[in-house]
Amino acid sequence: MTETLIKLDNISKIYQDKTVVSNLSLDVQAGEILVLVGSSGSGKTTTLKMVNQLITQTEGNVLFKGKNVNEYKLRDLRLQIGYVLQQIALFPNMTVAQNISLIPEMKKQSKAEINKMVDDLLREVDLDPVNYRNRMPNELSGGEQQRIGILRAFAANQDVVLMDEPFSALDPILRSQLQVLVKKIHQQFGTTIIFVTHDMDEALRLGDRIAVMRHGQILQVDTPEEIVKNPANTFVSEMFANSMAQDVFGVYLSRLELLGYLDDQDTSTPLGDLDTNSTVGEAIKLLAQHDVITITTKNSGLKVLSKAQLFKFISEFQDM
Amino acid sequence: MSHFIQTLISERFNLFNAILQHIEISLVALVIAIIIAVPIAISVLNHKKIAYVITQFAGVLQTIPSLALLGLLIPFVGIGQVPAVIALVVYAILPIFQNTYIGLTSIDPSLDEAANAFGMTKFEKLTKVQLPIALPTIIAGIRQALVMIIGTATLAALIGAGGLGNLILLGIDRNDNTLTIIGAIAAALLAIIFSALIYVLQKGKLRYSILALLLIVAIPVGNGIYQAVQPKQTTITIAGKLGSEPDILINMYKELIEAKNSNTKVILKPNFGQTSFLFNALKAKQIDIYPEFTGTVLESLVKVPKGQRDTGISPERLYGYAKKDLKNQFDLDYLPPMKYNNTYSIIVTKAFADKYHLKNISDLRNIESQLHAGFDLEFLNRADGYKGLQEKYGLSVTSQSVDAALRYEALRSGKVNVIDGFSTDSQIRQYNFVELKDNHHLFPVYQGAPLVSATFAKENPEIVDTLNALAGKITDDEMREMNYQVNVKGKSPAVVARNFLVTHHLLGANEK
Ligand SMILES: Nc1ncnc2c1ncn2[C@@H]1O[C@H](COP(=O)(O)OP(=O)(O)OP(=O)(O)O)[C@@H](O)[C@H]1O
Ligand SMILES: [Mg+2]
Repeated sequence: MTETLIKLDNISKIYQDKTVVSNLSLDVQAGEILVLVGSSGSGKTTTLKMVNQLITQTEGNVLFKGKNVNEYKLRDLRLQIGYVLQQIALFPNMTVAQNISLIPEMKKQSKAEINKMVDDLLREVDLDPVNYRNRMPNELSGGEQQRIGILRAFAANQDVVLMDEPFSALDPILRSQLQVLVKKIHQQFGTTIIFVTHDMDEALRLGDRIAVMRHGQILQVDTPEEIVKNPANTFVSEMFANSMAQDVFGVYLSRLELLGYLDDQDTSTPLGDLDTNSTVGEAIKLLAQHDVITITTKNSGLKVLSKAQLFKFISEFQDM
Repeated sequence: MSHFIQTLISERFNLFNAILQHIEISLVALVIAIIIAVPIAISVLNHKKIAYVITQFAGVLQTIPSLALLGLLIPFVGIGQVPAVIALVVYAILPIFQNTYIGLTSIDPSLDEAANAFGMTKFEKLTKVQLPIALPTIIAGIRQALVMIIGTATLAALIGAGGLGNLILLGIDRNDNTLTIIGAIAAALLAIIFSALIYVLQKGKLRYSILALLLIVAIPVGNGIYQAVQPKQTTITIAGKLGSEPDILINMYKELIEAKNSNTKVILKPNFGQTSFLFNALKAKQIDIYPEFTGTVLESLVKVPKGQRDTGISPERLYGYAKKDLKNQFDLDYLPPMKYNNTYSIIVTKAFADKYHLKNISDLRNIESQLHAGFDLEFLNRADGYKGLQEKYGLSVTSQSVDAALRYEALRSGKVNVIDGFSTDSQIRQYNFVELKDNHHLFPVYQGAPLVSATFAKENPEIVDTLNALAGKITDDEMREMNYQVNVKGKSPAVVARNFLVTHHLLGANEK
């Protein structure tokens, strides 16, 4: 994670006399998932769209692979950058397969290659190609549609994929399924992803690094752990209240891990089947029968959560 | 019902031709309208104000009554299919433009954003995303335009463009409602069938639809090209007004000309329209010859010095005036007229004439009190109509106005016992009525004669000679009989014309 793929260099966007992004600088490393998080109107979408030049900055430079974006032909630039919209925006006149093969076709990949890839990708997201290839978008559920939306963006093996609140219109279960999917695809292809959300929990689950935005500026860019442990200012810590989790029961256990509420303990017999994608609510149910439960974490194997630690977290939650 | 079927059978060739012409005019107009409206709509997509102005403008065009629009076009493009197609295009542009514009602008903006983000060029976006998504709306506009075109195209017959309007007009002219109804039903069916066809095409693949449309248009265009590159014989175009009489006459012209001038081909345009259309077409050299009445020339075509209008002038002098005025004012040559005089006439039943020994109009005075007249409204009000009867013949009768179409029926059924009519009306022959002689020369003379341009006459002396063979020929009775054969017996004008020429030795029986 050393190579800078995208560099936003002191960019500003000013509409008439309203500054919506001001003097923002940000480096996106090749292969990382960078999450832009911030409340509504903080300039996330504006910043994201300046990367593929759907919006041109008023000041500053955007560099892609070390070269200023205005040195690229617009089409060449955009063909290297995938895009996933909150509105999904599958083309209603094209089948699932046609939607997915759109960009590879524009890139003049061979028909046979594309067909095989479409089938592989559909299987990857648990949609049977035989059944789904020739469906029209309006014959799909919202979750299925967004899965196709994601495939469409990744299909052409893009260097970077921009995702603007892709899951905020979906219900919580679908949302977490698709978050897992994005993680999986990211690991498989190593694609760089810039992911916009205003849900801090989503940011914590997905981000290799998180950039917290407010009023068109970046307050802090850091790993999830650092953000949770050492928020740069009160606004950053307040962002946690902006989580999609309405109350403490909806908080993901990953947050407890990041905050250090999970303990190391050598238990050879796992208790329960919770992991860091489970919620506090689920943990409470299990802890009603046990004093300590085990949690499978992403990076550091099995950890344990005790009643005492959970109570401590809940009591401190109000103050976060 | 049996009359309906009979008419359908006897007019099947006319109907078939009219349908083909109708389809041709309509589809050519439709395709031109699409070619104009769709690209304009695409090019103003991002210019809301211009789109608004265009919509308003097209809307204004659409409020012009179709007849007025056709009339306005005549000075610029003459008559025939060209002005008809132009007028139809003018009407069709609005629905196609509007639907294309609305279809393209109401596309979900997020789709537009996606297309842009994926690096599509404007053209790719248009062909892969915008047009396919807007297609149902655009097609709806095209269908709307087509239905309107097919309906309005019936008016094209008024300026000689042919089509189903011809049948409708012919029906009105012959007072044959069945013919009018057949024309109207055929037009309605065409609209329904083509509307359904477009619907079916829309469900199919786009490229097939375009192919099908192109094919349909290519046929008339190809035909035009074929005609253009054909070895050029001399072709002469002869047109005639609406009705059986001019139709028979121009068929005689054709037979005679083609028999005597082997290298000449005559194209006929029967039922070509009203007097002013034909006259303008002749001046514009779109047609070469058409038969015109002396009375009509003096009454509506030339500026007549006072004095010529006096009634009672001999037919020879009247023709002389008409010929001189046409030459001086329009540089046209008016060839010598035929014998028959198609003017107003006073008509009674045979029984009535026999009973009171009626021969002349003046004989009516003796039985004034017994007369119950049914006169057409126009006749009642014309100076050379009923008013003239009162002045010149001192005749004063109880009269009621009867619609021109119903006069003969009223006379036959005895509701009235004297009517006005035209001397060559086929009903006189059909019901064996008697025409009273205008012995005080009240009615103006209407003798038919070929009208050509002076240049044409000079360049084609042999044609002029040929046509002059008809000068002084064809009596009132003969003309009436021929009209009867066509209007009542349902014979084709060409056959009737040929029979006449052969029996009167104007044409050898084997000649052709
Ligand atoms: N075309 C525009 N003209 C003027 N102001 C704009 C325009 N587009 C966005 N803005 C303003 O810029 C600010 C940032 O908008 P932006 O869409 O980047 O916010 P965001 O962080 O993506 O918010 P959300 O989470 O609601 O999507 C907002 O205050 C918005 O009103
Ligand atoms: Mg946004």
